[in-house]
Amino acid sequence: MSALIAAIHNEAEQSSQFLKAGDVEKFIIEKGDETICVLVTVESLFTVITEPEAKPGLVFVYARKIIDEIKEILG
Amino acid sequence: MKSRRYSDESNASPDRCARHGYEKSVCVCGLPIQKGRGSVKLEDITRIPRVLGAGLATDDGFIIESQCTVGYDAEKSAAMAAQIINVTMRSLTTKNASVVLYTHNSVFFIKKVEQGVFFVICQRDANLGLIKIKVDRIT
Repeated sequence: MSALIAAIHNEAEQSSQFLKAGDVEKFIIEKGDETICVLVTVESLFTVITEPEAKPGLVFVYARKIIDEIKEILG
Repeated sequence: MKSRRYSDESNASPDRCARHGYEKSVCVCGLPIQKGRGSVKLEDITRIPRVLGAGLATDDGFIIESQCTVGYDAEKSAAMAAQIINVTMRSLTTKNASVVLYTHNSVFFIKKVEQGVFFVICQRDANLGLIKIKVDRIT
């Protein structure tokens, strides 16, 4: 899944540069039975797979907090 | 506003759209939505404040119909939308998917629909929830 998300992110990043829309910051993929929320940090992609009923706004709020905690741990 | 005429209105048959010449069931004048709930027109989406453009493209990225504000290239956007949705569907092995892509300058809604790929471009401070509701109604 990580490799697939990275591939999608690379494609999105290339397309975004092509349109001069700036860097990709985050994206949400909705498919039948699941929703994939991806938050782009400096060097990595933080991915959360949820059920379709989950609230993506709330997911991103918590994702940011978790990323901050990970950053603290990694120094 | 970019709009192309595909047929002479005077020659339009009852089964075909008078404006575009497509069969009424597939014309972008009214993108079909869930049964019994009418249709969503491009104008319904581009009318929302801070929406920069919307359109429908074929699966291979050619534009079918679009409405974009000045300075936004609908053909480039359509090609980008088709590319992203194709990679997503191929990677995740799914037949239907939608992507909301947040970039530094704008937000893109891309959705696979029956007739191809539907896309909306808007500013970061647009009402994304309202746009998503409209986009979700399109099948």
